[in-house]
Amino acid sequence: MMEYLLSGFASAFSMEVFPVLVLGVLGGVILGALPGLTATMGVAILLPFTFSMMPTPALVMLIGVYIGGIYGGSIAAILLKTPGTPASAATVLDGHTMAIKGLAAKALSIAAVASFIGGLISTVVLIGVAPMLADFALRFNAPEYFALALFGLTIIASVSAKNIMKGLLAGTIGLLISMVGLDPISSVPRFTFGVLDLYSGINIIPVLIGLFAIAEGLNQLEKIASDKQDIPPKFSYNFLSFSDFKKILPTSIKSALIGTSIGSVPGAGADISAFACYNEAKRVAKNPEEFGNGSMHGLAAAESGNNGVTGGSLVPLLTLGVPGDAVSAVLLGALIVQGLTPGPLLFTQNPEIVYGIFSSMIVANIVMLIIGFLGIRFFCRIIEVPKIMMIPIIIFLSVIGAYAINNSMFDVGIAITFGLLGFILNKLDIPSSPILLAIILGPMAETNLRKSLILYEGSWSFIYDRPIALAFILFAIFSVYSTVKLKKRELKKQK
Amino acid sequence: MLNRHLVLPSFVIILSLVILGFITQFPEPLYQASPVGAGFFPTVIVVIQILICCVLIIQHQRKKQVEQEQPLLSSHSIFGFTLLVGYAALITLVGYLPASLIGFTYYLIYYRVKKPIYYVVAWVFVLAIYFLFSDVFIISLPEGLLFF
Repeated sequence: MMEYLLSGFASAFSMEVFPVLVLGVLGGVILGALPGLTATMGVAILLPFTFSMMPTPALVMLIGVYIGGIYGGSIAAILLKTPGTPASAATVLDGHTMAIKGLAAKALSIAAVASFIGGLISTVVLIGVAPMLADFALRFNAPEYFALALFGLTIIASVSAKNIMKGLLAGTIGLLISMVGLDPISSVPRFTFGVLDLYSGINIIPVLIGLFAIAEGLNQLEKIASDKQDIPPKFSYNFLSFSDFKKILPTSIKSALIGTSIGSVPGAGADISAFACYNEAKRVAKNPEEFGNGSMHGLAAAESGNNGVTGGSLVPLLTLGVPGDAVSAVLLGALIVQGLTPGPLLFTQNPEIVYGIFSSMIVANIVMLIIGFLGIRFFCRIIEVPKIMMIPIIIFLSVIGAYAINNSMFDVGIAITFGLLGFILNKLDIPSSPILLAIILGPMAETNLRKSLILYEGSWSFIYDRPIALAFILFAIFSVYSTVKLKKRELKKQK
Repeated sequence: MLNRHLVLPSFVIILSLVILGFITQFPEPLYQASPVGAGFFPTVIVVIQILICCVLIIQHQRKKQVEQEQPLLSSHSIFGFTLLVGYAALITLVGYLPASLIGFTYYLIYYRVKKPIYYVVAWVFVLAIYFLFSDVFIISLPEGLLFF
């Protein structure tokens, strides 16, 4: 294995591969930073360019886009409160608060370092225990997926800011929105009102753009009136210090491992992972009240968690030929185009390519860290753009981002509607993150609950019959209990 | 005076009841494999939503202090929303490029921006995005109904 890895490193630094890798990571960072353009879209856009390339540079470039894209989403999330990708929605919670406090450079450097740690650990785990993780992921069936989604939904309580009930209300709104479209089991139309565009459900990206970017744009417009002079906010160019690094390291490592495990489960992506890691970091934190108010640990957990998925999602793809998420589905296409069949035989028949991918992932993470750090001063300039110019830029980019997903003006309408909804809910102290979380997890919870009931012929015994499902349900109960306890402690402290 | 912390949960309760009405009208599938139908999950969610709203109303009634409320919508946010809707409508009619140039310029005029450099930056930004999407990412931006 070591000789293949070393030859993979040699190949990654060769003139044939390295420029493509840097280009891929840089392209991914730019794409990820633009609202509406996800890592999946970036990989899909660049896929046709790889058809004429050799297998290693082709795959390396796409993986570079993937890694860069997941990190890139955090730049807009931190600086503009506009998550470039759904995976960065949890980054907004603490990253943007840090930027408001004048710590944008520090927040961006924490995001770069945590993303690097997440990606690196995920890759190392992928190299070491890929077959074992694949075996774990294969044990997941409908009851386990339902329990995982239920566990994920309990995170709503944690990201609910001041009032848990308001967070839960936002969660139920998100769940109802996720049910628009054809019923996943019987294909009966629900809440479609005869509108054809609603039959395929409401796409998460325009919702994300509306709830965060457009709502923030409207929010900033209101502040223009109060800010008489359009003076750019003061902020420091200080990066994270070594003592900061030591502080966030344990959280980042833990989140990377959680992210890798979540990523290895087909269907669970970087968005779920970021929220799950954020929740776990808050649960064990000494000062949980800092979360949501610019906590370094919160930001590091979210970023390490979403980048931890990059290696994890390749586990089922490379070992079983089963794509874990949308990006790995596109990567599956890329492998097939190159004449490679993912699965156990790939490791024996084409080890140089598999380990070449692994080595390149490590190099891609290093490149991402360097680009991240070199770009911080440039990215921070965004904050210095006068607000009067920044607001229309956010709004117009949001509209174009919403359109670009499906080339549909209907999605633009969805983004605008959710923008207004997010803006009003914000005024009523109702958080937007639970809506997003519920839209992601709602279909997973419903589909798998009903599949489980079919499997168990209407019996609910699957809840305690299956060890993994039972473990997740116990985690869910524990998560709710600890969050409620935490909130009570916070309230006591405030009094 | 109506309090928004009472109006919102009450409105959601009414909306939830209307949704319950819609759920009863879901068409029956030709073959029902699942022990629970398409309406099961939405019904559970709506019932939970009503319970949450009741708790929110009780929570508010128990609070003794009266909070100072800011207006829900200001003239700036209404302008922003109108600009958004107008921009989306204009895109549909004339396409991305003219709509964005008009929209951005109108916004700057509305806020009485006098610096010419801001107008130049706005137009350069619009053109740069057009170039980036259409020529680099190969994503076609809306052309508009009038130009077809």
